[in-house]
Amino acid sequence: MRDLWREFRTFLVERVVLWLLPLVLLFGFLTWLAWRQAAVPSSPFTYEVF
Amino acid sequence: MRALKHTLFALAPTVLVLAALEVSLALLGAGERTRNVWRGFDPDAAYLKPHPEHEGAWRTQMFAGHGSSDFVIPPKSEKTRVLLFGGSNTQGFAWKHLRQYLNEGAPPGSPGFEVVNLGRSGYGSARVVTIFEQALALEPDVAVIYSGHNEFVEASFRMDLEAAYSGWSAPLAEAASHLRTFNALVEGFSPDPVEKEKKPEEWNWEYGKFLKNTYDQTRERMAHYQDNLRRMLELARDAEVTVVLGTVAGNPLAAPFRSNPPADFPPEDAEELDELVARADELVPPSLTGIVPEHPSHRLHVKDWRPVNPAEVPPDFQMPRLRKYGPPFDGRMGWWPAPTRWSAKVEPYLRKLSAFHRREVSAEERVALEELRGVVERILELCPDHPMAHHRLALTIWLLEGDGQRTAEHLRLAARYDRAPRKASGLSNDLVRELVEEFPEVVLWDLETLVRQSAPNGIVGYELMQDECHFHEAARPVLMKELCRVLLEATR
Repeated sequence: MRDLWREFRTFLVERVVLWLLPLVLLFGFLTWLAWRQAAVPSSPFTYEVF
Repeated sequence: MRALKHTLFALAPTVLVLAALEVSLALLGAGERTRNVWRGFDPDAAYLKPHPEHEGAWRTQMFAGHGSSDFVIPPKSEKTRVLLFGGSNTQGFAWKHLRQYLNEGAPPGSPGFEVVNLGRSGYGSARVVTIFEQALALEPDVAVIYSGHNEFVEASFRMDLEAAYSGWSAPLAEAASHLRTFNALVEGFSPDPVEKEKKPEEWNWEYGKFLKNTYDQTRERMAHYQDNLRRMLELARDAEVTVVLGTVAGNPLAAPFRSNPPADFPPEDAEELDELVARADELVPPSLTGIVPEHPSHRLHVKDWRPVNPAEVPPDFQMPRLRKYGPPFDGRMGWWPAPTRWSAKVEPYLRKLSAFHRREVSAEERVALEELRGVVERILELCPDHPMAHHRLALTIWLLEGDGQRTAEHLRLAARYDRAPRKASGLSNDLVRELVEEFPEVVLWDLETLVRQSAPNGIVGYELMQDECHFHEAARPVLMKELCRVLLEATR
């Protein structure tokens, strides 16, 4: 188990791109999806009728 | 084996970060999954929910994100419960006045009335019917339906939503909505309802969608409107709820939005029609700019009557004089707010209207108007239901001949034939009247006739209306008096 942990830490240090890529891709995609979702307003009217 | 291990190593930070975010947001109580109740189209969403603390009470969740507050509806009591349904006019109804008038007019010793306003800006009949169905749980005694201006506004909004939430990303967004991280991001990106305010003319929803609409398509859309109203009347009948159904008053002076020939319009006439329409645009005299808008920004909008930054009122300001209405709107000239609240657009617009109503035309303009009348008459020979031609013919008849009756007739036709109307007209109100005949138990609140009959020459205008469909605030208590009379009669 300790070897596995050591191996994992080595992987994190030596192969930064490999673990950073899915992180960036997932959060980038979620951010884009959320932005798109929020782009349509709650109503075509944004003003109150007095 | 090594490849699998490295794949797991590569994914582990993403999973750990996501898990840490999910746990943190859960501890903070943020990013909860909610149904998209604020847009109003989801029939599975609850727009009214039982109050968690007060038994028998309800709370709305249909106004969130729209600058208005949701509110609590108390448990049903012995009072006659009146619910109001519709769009922005209904939302703006002076319901407290209505409640006061009803309780003043209630028979002595009766438990009285309570009024709950479930109208919301932008709602057309498709969303009103959803609210109506759910609101039957509030055990209403009477339902007032005043809906008819927003069919195209609502349809346009729905088309935008469908475009935004369709395609390959739709199931992914649905799946992502189970993540608090995603929901928190959506919340973060959603603009503040106050900060996001835009000028109404900057919203192109309604203007762009129906550019090619034919009148057959308009009537098809309005058939859905009638179906939605019919559905509400059937629900009310089953639930033994009295319905007061309103005809809906619009501002016929406001120009129609779209004027397209029929789909089978002869191609040999199409070129002539295009030339005539272009010529009719050139011939509009400057005094009619705005009344005949070349751009949405030329129209008067709700916000012009109470903008964030009103225009300064000059020291020599004199109130524009428009027309006086008969009962029940007699007693004052205009129902608009004080000039200190107006945008810079209002005062010159009202001056133009004042000159129009007084038929003040220069000799030069008269020549242009004569030619304009000939052009729009020719357009109507080619296309008898051309809304723009009817509107301009009405204006020229008034200015050149002063024939109020014919002016009113053509203004009503212009509204009726509009291919993408943003106001009720004879077309929608005929459908309402048909339903009242189909459901004899339904009480008609014929507001359109009442308002029309009160207006000089039967032409409702900006004295009562802020734009094409919204009553001025000061006029609404008068409407509530009329509604009160109908309600007292209906509940006797």
